[in-house]
Amino acid sequence: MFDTRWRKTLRDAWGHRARTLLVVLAVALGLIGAGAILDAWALVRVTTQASYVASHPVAATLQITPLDGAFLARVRTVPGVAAARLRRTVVVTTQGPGEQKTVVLHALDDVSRPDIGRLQDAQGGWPPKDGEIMIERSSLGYSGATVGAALAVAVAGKPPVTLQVGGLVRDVSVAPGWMDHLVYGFSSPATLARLGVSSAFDELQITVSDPHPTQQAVRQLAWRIKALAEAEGRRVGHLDVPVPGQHIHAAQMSTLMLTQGGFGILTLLVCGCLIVNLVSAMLAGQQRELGIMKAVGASEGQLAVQVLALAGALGLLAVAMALPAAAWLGRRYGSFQGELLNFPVDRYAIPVWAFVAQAAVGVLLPVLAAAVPVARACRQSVMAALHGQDLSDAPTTVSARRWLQGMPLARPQLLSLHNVFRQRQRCMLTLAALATAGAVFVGASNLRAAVERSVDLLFVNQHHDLTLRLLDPQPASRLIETAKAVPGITLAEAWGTARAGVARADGTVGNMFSLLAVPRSSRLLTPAMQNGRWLSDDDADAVVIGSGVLRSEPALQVGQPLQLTIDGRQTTLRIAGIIDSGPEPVAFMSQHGFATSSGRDLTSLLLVSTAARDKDGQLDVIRRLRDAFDRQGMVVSSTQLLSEERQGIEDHLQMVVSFLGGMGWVMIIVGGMGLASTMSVAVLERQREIGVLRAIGARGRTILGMVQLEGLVMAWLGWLLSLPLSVPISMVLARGFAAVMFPVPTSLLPEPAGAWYWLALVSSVSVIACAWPARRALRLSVVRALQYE
Amino acid sequence: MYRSIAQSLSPEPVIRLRGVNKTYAAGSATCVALADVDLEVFAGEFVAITGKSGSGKSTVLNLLGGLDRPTAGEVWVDGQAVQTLSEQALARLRGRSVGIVFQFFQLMPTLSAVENVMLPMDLAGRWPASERRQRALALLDRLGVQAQADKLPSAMSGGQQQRVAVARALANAPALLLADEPTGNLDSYNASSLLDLLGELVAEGQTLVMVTHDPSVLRRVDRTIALEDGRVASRQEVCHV
Repeated sequence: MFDTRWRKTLRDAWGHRARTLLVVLAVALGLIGAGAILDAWALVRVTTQASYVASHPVAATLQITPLDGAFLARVRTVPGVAAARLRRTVVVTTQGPGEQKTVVLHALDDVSRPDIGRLQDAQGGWPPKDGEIMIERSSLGYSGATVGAALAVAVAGKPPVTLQVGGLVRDVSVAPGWMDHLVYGFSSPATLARLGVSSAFDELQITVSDPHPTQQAVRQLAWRIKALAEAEGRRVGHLDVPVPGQHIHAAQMSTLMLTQGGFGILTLLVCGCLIVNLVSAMLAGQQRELGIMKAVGASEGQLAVQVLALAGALGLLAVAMALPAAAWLGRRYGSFQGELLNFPVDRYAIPVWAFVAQAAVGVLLPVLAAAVPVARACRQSVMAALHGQDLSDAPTTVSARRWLQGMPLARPQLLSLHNVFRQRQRCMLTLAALATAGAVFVGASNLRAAVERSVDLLFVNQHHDLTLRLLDPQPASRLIETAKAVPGITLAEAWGTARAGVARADGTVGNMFSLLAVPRSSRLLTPAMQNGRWLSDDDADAVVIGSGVLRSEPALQVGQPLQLTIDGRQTTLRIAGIIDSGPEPVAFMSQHGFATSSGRDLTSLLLVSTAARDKDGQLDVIRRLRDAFDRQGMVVSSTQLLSEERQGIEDHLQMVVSFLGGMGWVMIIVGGMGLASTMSVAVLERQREIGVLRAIGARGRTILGMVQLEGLVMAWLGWLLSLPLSVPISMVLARGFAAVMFPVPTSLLPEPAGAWYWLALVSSVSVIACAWPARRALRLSVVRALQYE
Repeated sequence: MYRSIAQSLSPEPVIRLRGVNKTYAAGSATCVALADVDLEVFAGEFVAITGKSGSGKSTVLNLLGGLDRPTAGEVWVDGQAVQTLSEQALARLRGRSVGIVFQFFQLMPTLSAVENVMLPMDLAGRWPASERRQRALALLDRLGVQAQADKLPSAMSGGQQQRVAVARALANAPALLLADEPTGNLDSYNASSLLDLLGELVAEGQTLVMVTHDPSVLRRVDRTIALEDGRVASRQEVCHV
């Protein structure tokens, strides 16, 4: 079937099964790592198109009162508007024993419209009947509710009402409820009336006819509708224009995938190093045979095709092994990302092109990695090949030999050290693989530590335990007096709040953010300044921007004048400083300045520090606070524990951290395989030397120690190299992380705990990786070892 | 005698060396392997190249086999100027025009005897694929080792391996057969038997150049060329009775 060349090739591969298997495993492992990332990315991309884009996401939401069918009809005729609908959103809280959950309840004018914000996967009776609530799927677990069961909810200041959980529905436009610690629900307008609030719609939502609009174009369209409403005497409140066509987490997810893609490529590169080593060793072992082949008429091209075809075939074998595993992992990872995006990934197939790409990489990787050693081996002259001139064996330099001999070590140990550097190319590639694996591991560890420090820093500056919001603003003194009368409260501060946005030159306003008025000499916030200064009590026109605002307004700088729209009022302030506020877009003013700029002297936000350190104790304080405010006739709209807020942020970080950990381990396995292959080839090549050593009296444990020492020296050198290499990798990771989550400080020094852990790990990996080659060296009979050629 | 017959049949020699020099760099010094060597071998001749170790005889064989190139001068093999050939053309020359028998047999350890013989045919593609096995078996039969056809080299004796190596060298019916100390690794019985076989091949018209130390070979050749310090020291025609 095959001619003799291919029979020889296959038999050689079979004759060196361990080495062949290592090549297949190296490619397979690299492919599984990189392929899983590609599969997950492709799956999320397909799902985004099929699920999110197909849902016709809302392009703009305008809060307008009053709203009616006639105005809606007029909006639908505005050029550029594709579809429009009306909505009312009410915030309610679950009632009953245990923690009260915040429920964002929407009522729509037409729940069956397919052309705007289409809801999917309805389960149960859709649309919701009067007295029913349909829960958004991602919030069900967090809500603690059960489909078909009753759920008691209450609007702030109103008596609780029991609703029936009619079913589930998916809203792909919102972040998952479990992540936001919110329950999203849908009810009819009549159900809102039952809850004691107006059933009149107060939000207008539109989609645009341009399939690829810019955010600014949508904002201008929304502004025209705003002008239309105001011309008819309607009041327009907030105006929200998200980035068109992008899920709320899409940009973060893309950046994350890009970072992960980088790791995938690094994994493949490390695998490439391993393959180069293995192929070089294979060719070194077959050098004389290659010479004979040439002597009997084989051309360089014929020999190269022979070896490269084998490399490609092994790649195909690896592809067959890796594709199912990568698809399984990619699907799991994609599902996880789907959960973060609130997309149902399970029903979609990984696109064929992703498999084709992996198969191509799987075949090409070993071929490309083998190309250089193959070219070198095939170009070697027949004479050189026949006389066994080593392709890569370079004697240790005289100075290095002198240096080694100067070390206070026994001769066998010196021989081990000498052996490390004997095959320079192989040594370099093994070190490169180990150093890259270590750098990723240490880099991931650096980032994890930096993230933990950042989260700690973010919260260490916030000294309250919980926040309480009132439905109607009250004088600050009244809030504080009421709170201080509640047992278990150690400190309470009333902060002013407003919604603000940067006013643009074209008359539109950028994305809205929270503007907080900080009380005089606040003890509940220690600002972590990034730039500029903090507020003084007398500041009238100074504003401090949180780093989260810079994500949407990157041009803002300290000292600049800033035109803000605060709850509809335009005012000019000056940026006094920028503080690290994590991912949340928020800005701060002094209470004095806030009152002047917003025209408000009432507050609705209370920050409270409690004596209780555990969650149950703090929840008790919340109950007592609610009762106290109820007794005073002040309606509490929501409460939130700081620990919950932290948990929310940590939930966001969990995926990134777990992914980095996973990639680090993949790299360690590949690096370990590299070391194992290098050592087994080294033992194979030195069988004669080992035979001579044993013939002159070296004991088994001496040989074992020599092999292990050689591996350990290689591992420790790899560890040393990984430390400086981890710094740029940490920086890249930190940059990717900053785009996904929030900026974290990067250090030029590796995290000591991570570095020591990696040293222990790489030493263990070395001992394990060298165990088989060492055992092999021990099992060789002296006569056989001496016969080896 | 053979020479005159050969020359009369084929006026163009199979091998022609003109003013061939071959030097090697040995550190900062230059080692002269061949100096101004002229040589001609005609079709059907059996020529032995002799000389002490380091005299340059293996270098001549390497040049004739297209395994190496001269530093200066001309090496013509089967009408082709070795010094001008590309690597690809040299490979073609080795595959089609020259067959080489090595001292240490150099068979492929993972291929059976018949596969070893088929290997040059597969590389050169000179014979139809369907005929290669039959031709290889016929060559093994001719060399008396057909019974070993499906054995791996490790399962054969040295003499059998060398016969397989000769069969391999003849696989593509080369114009020139080169042998580098072919009896150097064989016992006297196997050596004599192999030389008989090679003699028969020459009698059938095969051109054979052999590098040897073995005095028993010299009785069987048409001509002996003795090398000394890279130069032709003597040329001697042998008269067979």
